[in-house]
Amino acid sequence: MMQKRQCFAVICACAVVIQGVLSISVEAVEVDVHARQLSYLSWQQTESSSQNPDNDFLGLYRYQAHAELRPDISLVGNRYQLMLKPRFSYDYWWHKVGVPEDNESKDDAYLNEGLLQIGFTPTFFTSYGRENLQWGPTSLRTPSNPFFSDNGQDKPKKEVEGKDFLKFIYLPSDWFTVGVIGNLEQGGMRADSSVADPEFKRKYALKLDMLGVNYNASLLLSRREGGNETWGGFVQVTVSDALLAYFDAAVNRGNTALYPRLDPGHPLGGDFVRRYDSTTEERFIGIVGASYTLENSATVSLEYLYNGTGYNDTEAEAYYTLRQNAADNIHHPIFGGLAHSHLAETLNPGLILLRRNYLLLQYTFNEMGNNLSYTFRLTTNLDDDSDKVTLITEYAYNDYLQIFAVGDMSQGRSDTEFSSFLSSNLMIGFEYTF
Amino acid sequence: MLYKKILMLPALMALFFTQVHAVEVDLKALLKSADRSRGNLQGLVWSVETLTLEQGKAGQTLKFRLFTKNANSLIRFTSPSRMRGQMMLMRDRNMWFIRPGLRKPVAISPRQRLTGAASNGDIASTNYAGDYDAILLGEESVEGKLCHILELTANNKGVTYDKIKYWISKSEGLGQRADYYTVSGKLFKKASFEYNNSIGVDKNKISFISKMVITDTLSDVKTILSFSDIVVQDVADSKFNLNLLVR
Repeated sequence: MMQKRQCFAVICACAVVIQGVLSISVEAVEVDVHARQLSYLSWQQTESSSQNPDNDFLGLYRYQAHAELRPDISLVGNRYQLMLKPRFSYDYWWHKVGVPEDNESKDDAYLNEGLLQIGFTPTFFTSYGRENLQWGPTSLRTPSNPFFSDNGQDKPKKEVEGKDFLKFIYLPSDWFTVGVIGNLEQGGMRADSSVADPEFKRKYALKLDMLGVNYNASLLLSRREGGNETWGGFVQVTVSDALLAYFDAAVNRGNTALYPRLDPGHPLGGDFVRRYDSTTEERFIGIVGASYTLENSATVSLEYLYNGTGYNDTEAEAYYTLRQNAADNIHHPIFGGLAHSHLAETLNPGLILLRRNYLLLQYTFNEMGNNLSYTFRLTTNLDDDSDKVTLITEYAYNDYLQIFAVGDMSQGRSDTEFSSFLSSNLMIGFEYTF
Repeated sequence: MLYKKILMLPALMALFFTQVHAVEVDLKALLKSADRSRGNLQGLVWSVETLTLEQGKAGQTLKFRLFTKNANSLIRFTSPSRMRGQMMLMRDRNMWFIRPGLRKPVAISPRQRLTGAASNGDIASTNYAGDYDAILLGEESVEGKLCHILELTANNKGVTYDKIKYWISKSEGLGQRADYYTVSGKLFKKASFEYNNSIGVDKNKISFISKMVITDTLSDVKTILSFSDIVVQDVADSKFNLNLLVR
């Protein structure tokens, strides 16, 4: 409730600032206001696994209806830019798996993004506000980004929640940019916020960007308060007019992810600990990839990810053993609460991906002037042989209305990453712009 | 007699190389002049409308505002409505597509089609003078204008076309027609240009592109690009910086 009040206070304050800027400014101001009405129905097929035994842990519904209004407001002056993205949504879920008569609804209003950027000189800028800060050429994940583990590619119709940043950007030349970025607050004003973290700590980064005729690259040094440094970066090269090659990586000194610890004396056979939180052991996460544009304008991409922080075979075996133990004790009169806590930890142990080796193959046809666009994506976990197939299609019915369908299908044993609780998922909806 | 011929030889060689050099300089200057009238300037803001015709049937129309400065371009789509907020940024041969809601910029290649027969590379500022080596093939009339015919061969791998046959009017120095070839020498696109706009550059008025028609010779798809509302102004470098692009 408090967060909603803060959200509306921020929206009102920004509206006052807009009004003020409009009335006192003598310079040319470009104002752009447009909104999207996004609605969809989704269906999901759950998997009975140790992560969600008989749906008793996650309480997933089979069906969901979602309606959302997404206004985008921007003001661009010579020296400043103001952007606001308030969001208003309504969700209705029905047919809970295992309890078909159950249903639930929720409405929400929040500021997903909103920032003010000021240029003090033509080469020095600062901004403060909430934003979804993304970069890099990869699709699978973005290891070099210390602020967001979700790059928004998996669920293109769902927005990644913004976080609060203070940034200073300096352009010493046309080909070199220096950025100092501070993630000061965790953001996340959604009622079901996925970024809300009671153990949130501020994070800072120095980002150096370089640009050549046919390449761009970035080098990052980041640090979490009380934690160790992380080095990261990416390089993207336009090898020819059709071929792009790229690399995105990070080297973490220690990390805050949870790792399984077997303990025969523990009632659930062990627990999860931040084993490398205070160590300086270095772990490498990197993606190497390439994309090639065919004669028909479709693009084929191939990426390989090595996740040095992911579980090896021994750790994975311990992880699934502890998860199974928690599932077996979920209704235990004494250890039920602990089992729930373990399942919450296994659901999100703080890793970008659970295991170490992944492959992505993607075929995309996205011609701006064409009414139909689609993406087919196959993601394979090479360590446990589970796969996820994603199909994203969009069809422009007219200038305002776009119809879309997003489907996921997973394959693998129930003790594998991609088949842990959902076997398939389909979202069909429309987006109306006005 | 013989010694006179021997003495004349260096003079003739010097004259020959001077002529060759003069031709080279002229071709570069000719290409620079043609590039300038197709948008390669210090700063320009203009509107572009694209219409694609497939077997004579009109398809999708796109409208966007284009900010250019030398080899940098930023496209802000304005129509159709569903594309508002979408952007395309081109920094030399680095290109990104940006959609609202999906904040991560998607790296794209110059070959990827923007619409119909037009590739992303067709919208980017033309820098034939820098990207291609030219030789003079001859002269020919195009639409009643006597033109130099230049054969352009790419001098780097990042360009959209490997080989171009380019007709530049002798009197105005404006590109009138272009044929685009693959590495194997196969003709796959043709373009024609009109210059009914004019802009002021360095206190001079120059003709500026108003229409470009690109035809895909393999599929019979034709895309017409119309250019209007051209404003010559300094566009800040920060406009083309991905870190500062509020989206």
